Amino acid sequence: MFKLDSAIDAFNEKFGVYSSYLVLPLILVIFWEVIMRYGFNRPTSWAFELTVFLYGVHFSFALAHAHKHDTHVAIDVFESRLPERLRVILRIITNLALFLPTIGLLTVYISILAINSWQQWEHASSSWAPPIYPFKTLMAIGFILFFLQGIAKLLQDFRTLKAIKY
Amino acid sequence: MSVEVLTILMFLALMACIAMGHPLAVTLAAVATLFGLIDNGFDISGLMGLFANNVWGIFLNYTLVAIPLFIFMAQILDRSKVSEGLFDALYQVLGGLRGGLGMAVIVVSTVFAATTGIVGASVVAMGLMAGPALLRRGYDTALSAGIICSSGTLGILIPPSIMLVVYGGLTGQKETSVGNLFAAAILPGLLLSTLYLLYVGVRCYINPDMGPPIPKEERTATAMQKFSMTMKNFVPPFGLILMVMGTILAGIATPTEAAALGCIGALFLALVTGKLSWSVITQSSVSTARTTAMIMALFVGGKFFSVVFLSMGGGDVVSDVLLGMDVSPYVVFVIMMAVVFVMGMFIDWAAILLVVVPIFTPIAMDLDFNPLWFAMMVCVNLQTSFLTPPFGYSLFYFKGVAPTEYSMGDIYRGIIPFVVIQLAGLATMIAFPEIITWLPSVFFGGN
Repeated sequence: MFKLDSAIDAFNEKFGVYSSYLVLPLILVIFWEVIMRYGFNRPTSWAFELTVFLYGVHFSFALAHAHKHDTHVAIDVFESRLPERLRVILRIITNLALFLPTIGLLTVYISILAINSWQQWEHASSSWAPPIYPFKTLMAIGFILFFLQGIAKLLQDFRTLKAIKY
Repeated sequence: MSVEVLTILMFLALMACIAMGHPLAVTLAAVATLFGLIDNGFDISGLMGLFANNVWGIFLNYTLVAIPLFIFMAQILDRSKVSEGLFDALYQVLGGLRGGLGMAVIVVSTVFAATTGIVGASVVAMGLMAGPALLRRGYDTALSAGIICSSGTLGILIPPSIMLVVYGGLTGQKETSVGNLFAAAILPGLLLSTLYLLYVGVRCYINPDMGPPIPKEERTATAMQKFSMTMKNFVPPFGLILMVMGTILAGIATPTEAAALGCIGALFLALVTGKLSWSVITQSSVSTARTTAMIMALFVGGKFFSVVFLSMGGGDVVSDVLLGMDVSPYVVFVIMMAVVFVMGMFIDWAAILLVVVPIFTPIAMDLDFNPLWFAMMVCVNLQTSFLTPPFGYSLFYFKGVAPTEYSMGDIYRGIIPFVVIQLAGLATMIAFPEIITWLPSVFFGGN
């Protein structure tokens, strides 16, 4: 049987691991810029912007993976003292009341930001003048995956709730 | 609704939502969304458009690029076991003194602190390594728990530190640039480390049962061996830090560039010690991505919160209350510090930093406090927050990895003297602000 939450989990797991390697080109781009500037006195025109873009994509893509692994800090000291069933119910309530509306709205408006950028064919106003729209799109993808991970958690919590015997 | 009522409601709502155990970053964003909508008359596209633009602004924040880089550097160093080698060496060198092993832990943590910049890593590493060792040597459990937790927490203060990068990236001011903050944090970090050393040394000298010396037959290394062991394990990590900090302080590289150089250096160290493999790189990359996402999500949520709070006029409400009291600026300062301290007992440093700094900084400026000094006082205070019960994160990290002989009661008892030392350190920095401002003026001439 196809389960949406397992599919989201599996995708975000793979996607999170592969995208975490973005830190390596990030290091190399900065290292290259430092060498060109101090070694050859020929600073590049593109390294600064590429650095920022790589870092931005790196953290946007990691949001969902971190949520899957419960890395986002939470104050669970009160919650962890509750009985299992109440805890699951509380998780469902906070997910429905806090996560899904906020991250949902944010994802929609970040996507709109990306769409507007495509419509304007937006480029940076620097000498390298890279296009902005791909990066706004990648940022939106990161938030969409983050939102989907929240949905997956909701489905899993519902299933856990059903399975608890009382 | 008046601004005063909204301000109070916003904080109450935040506290209530936080207690429900949902990720802090999302909770901050949710409370900000709700009150932003109340404040602007439910103009959803106006508020969310503003938020989306704020996320894009964080996406383009060059200062914050240093965060994943410093985390990655620490991950690689952690997996090349630099701290273990140094601990083994100092075990021989300092083991003969009363409390010597405890002092070895503090020295290793101080050096390690300079390489990590995150707390979890140092406390976990020292808890695994030194926790059993101290116990085996008959150290008092409370004292040894206090030593490991407090010195492991220096990582958040001693540069390069993630907290200082977040602070610099948040304010975007020239006075509190990351370079200035790094220079300013060196002496406070060393001061605290020295105070810990003094405390452990004196306490164990008076009462050797708390920290007995290692018996002579186990300290077989000759002076020459001790020297070469120490040098072999001390020079590589210290050299790396010197390179990273040196390029920043000399003004050669930005903190972001220095962080990337540090990553190359850490990879090189791992390579020559034979610890580098593709699986080490993968593990380091994955945990770097997760920790970065955690901090950046908090940055986004905290940004939303402060944008709404300030545009609603909440900042003015707080400053009217604090400045309207007509008391000495230092009383206002102590109140602000007390707020940070009490919040630190309950919530995470990054959330406090992102919520409180935008509100308090203008007040501190109004009172003519030096911005760099003020920033450092907040940071030392936040470092203390890792140690203060009930929710000191270092204590939980330690409990998670320590041998079962350490009860939570031991840990709580053991940490109290160190929290007192922290406060004494803060008081010293109030009395002698030069501890903070001197090095930045040497390196950056007050800029």
